[in-house]
Amino acid sequence: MDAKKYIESGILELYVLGQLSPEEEKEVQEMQAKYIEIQREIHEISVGLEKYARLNAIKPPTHVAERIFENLPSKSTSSSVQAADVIPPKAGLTWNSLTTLFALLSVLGFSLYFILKTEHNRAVQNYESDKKACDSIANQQQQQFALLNQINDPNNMIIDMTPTSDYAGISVYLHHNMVTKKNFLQLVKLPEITAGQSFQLWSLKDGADPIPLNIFVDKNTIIPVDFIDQTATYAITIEPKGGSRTPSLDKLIGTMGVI
Amino acid sequence: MSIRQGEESGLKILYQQYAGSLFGIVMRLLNSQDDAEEVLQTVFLKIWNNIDSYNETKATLFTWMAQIARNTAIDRKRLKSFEMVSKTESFDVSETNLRDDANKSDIDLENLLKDMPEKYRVLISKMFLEGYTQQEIADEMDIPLGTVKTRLREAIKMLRESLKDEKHLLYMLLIM
Repeated sequence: MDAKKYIESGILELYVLGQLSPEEEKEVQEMQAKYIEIQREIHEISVGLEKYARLNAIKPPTHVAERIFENLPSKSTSSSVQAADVIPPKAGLTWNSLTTLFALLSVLGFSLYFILKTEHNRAVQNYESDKKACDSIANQQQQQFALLNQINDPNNMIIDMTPTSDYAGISVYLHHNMVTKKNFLQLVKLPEITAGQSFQLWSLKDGADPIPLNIFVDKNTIIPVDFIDQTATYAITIEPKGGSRTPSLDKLIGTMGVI
Repeated sequence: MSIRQGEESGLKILYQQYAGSLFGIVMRLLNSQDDAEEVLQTVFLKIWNNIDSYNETKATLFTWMAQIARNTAIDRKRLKSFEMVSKTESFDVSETNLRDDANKSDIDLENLLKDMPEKYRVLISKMFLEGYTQQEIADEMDIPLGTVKTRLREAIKMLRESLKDEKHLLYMLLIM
């Protein structure tokens, strides 16, 4: 089917709103993988929604946040402390049996105290270590949000890499922003490389030697890469590990024209 | 995503980033500060409880959260309508909802739908205003599911054409 007609059909809006059946969703995902225009349209619809939602945002009163976070149920499974069953003494117990019971309860009490103290110390240690992990994850998440905001910037152009004939089927998108002067590579499908090789990005300008840029081995991710003014085309090659000063043209994977 | 590991700090970041946008959506849908505040609380609780079901390959995080906000607000609206119908038997729910909606925003929904043929307008209203699924519409209107799908897409196509900035469309559909 024609990608333009597909875009105009209204199905993508229903897809983004989650109003399609699983079969229809699958169809849209297949079309999206096949046509960069459809992927771009879905991206723009989603960014458009977020943009208009921000324009029409209304700040909720502060007590709403307080209520949410005060009543938030814990997701961790808490272990309950098992209380010892206490059997009430029966009437008519002898002095000896009372003494024995008292001694037993004392031993139980001290044992319970030491068990709980050890548990407490362990919990404090776990808390400290979990807190460090949480801080680190929160930090990572903030970085991911920053990346997401940059990827969703309405001024981004998404450029589909044109692979060379040796690398047909390889898929990389360049998110290129002339306003913020930032570039991101979305590495969808890259060829296999050996442990002694890496991928390298190049900036090609008319009448100038290729400029070596980022060296990477990542796959299936989005990475920030250098933005070079007046670049006509960015290219990716396979180079020996650590990169090269001049590109290995026999290992040129593909190019992304930005002018 | 740290919220997926049950970290409250993750939800706090989401709240800081998106609470205003989501509150804007539910306020426009409900037209009531008290209801919107309660719905926003429920929305963040649902985000907290269901974050594991979010699939980033299908939708952006905001789109997913906006769907939750819209569905929760529609549920609240239905509940309110039901309560009002219970109190006043002769009350016409759908007409009242439409009048409420026409008043509610700086975005001119009424004009947008005015020139649309009845068979499409009904469909758009049922789906986006009353929260019906396509199957529910087919069952209630006694028309084939395939016809519902075709008409719905034609209706959205018409709306796209009548808007100068078609990226606006989704937000309008969301707050109908």
